[in-house]
Amino acid sequence: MDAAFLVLPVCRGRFCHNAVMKRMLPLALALILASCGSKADLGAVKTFIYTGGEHQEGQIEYTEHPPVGGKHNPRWQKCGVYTAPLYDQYAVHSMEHGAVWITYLPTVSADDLAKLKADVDGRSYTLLSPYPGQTSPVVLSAWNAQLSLDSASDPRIPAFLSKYEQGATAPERGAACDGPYSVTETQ
Amino acid sequence: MRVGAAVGRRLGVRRSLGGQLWPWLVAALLAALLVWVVGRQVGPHFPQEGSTAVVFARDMRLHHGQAVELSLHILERPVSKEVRLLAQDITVTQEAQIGQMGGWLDIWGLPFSGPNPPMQGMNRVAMGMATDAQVRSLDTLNAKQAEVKYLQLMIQHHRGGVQMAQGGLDSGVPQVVTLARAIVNAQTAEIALIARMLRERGAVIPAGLPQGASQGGGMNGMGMGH
Repeated sequence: MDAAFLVLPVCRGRFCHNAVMKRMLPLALALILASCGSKADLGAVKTFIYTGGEHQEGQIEYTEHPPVGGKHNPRWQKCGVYTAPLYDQYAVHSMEHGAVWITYLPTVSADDLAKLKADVDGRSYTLLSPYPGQTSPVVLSAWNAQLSLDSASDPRIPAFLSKYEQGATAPERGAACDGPYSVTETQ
Repeated sequence: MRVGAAVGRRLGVRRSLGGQLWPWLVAALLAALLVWVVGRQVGPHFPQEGSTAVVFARDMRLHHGQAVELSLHILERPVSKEVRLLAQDITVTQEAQIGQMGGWLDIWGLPFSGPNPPMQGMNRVAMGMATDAQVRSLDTLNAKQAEVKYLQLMIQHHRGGVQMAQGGLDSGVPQVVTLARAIVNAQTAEIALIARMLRERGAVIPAGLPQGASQGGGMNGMGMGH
């Protein structure tokens, strides 16, 4: 990527026809590809522009389902694996601290659920819970970023976690995601 | 072309290079580009993904996070002033160091989290980490028992911390070595302090860290790792 910015601006007019340039081009391209690496492509991640961390008690209506930012409860959801749906307003506070919230339709297979559990195993800034009514089988949400997936085997899951768990989009990245609040909708 | 020739004259290479300077300029530019790109990937400037320094920063951030967690739990309880001060000291110190290590990763252009979970392949109990149940016990035991439990969990946690700091000491990155040394010194001193506090309370001082039974066996049911 970076190499492309250097090469392209000088490649104008007759300069570009230079034989040396032409011979060097494959080398430059190889370098560009090498610097891109082989990460799963996160181009399909939708981004948002929530800035504030305003606190508000009670139920909060969100535009996105699951939400990706905005007002939230003063308490944050304790990060971890849940088998019942969570209240949005607590999970949003966890995302403000850098949590990635992985949600799935309750109809996903046991195999898929096991895969998702393995993905978050050992990662302290993650929430995993069912989310009835979401439009895709699996959705990865972080503050201001969301990726909808058809499958729990999607190779972009680790890539998303790598980038967004305590990621740069979280307004208070690295603040604790442990806490006393671990209530679900069924409690 | 004219500019190239002018530069060529000034450099005294006009005819000796057959009057054609462009190939040399382009080659020099590409050579610089090559050095720059390769330098970005293997250069010694910033620690790279997978290096000792990066692994240390991420692992220690997690380990410190649990020390803060244990301390926040005990601070909710009506414990003695001495234990409260210790818990406050550990909280502010380790939280600051978590931020410091996060700052490195940011400057190094690396995510806080990374491709693998922190402390991957380590037995977390053998590194002094408390289990979820042990963390929760700080909320449920009576205050006297809870403060003893906190001291016992924290002495193990510090022993693991000192052991894990070894990675930082071996990293070869000056600021990482400095922090690792600070952690070893501070936590070694606090281990002695906590041992004294346990003795004064007539409580058992844990003998030492359990030896790592199985690789990665400590992953499930750990505080902060699920």
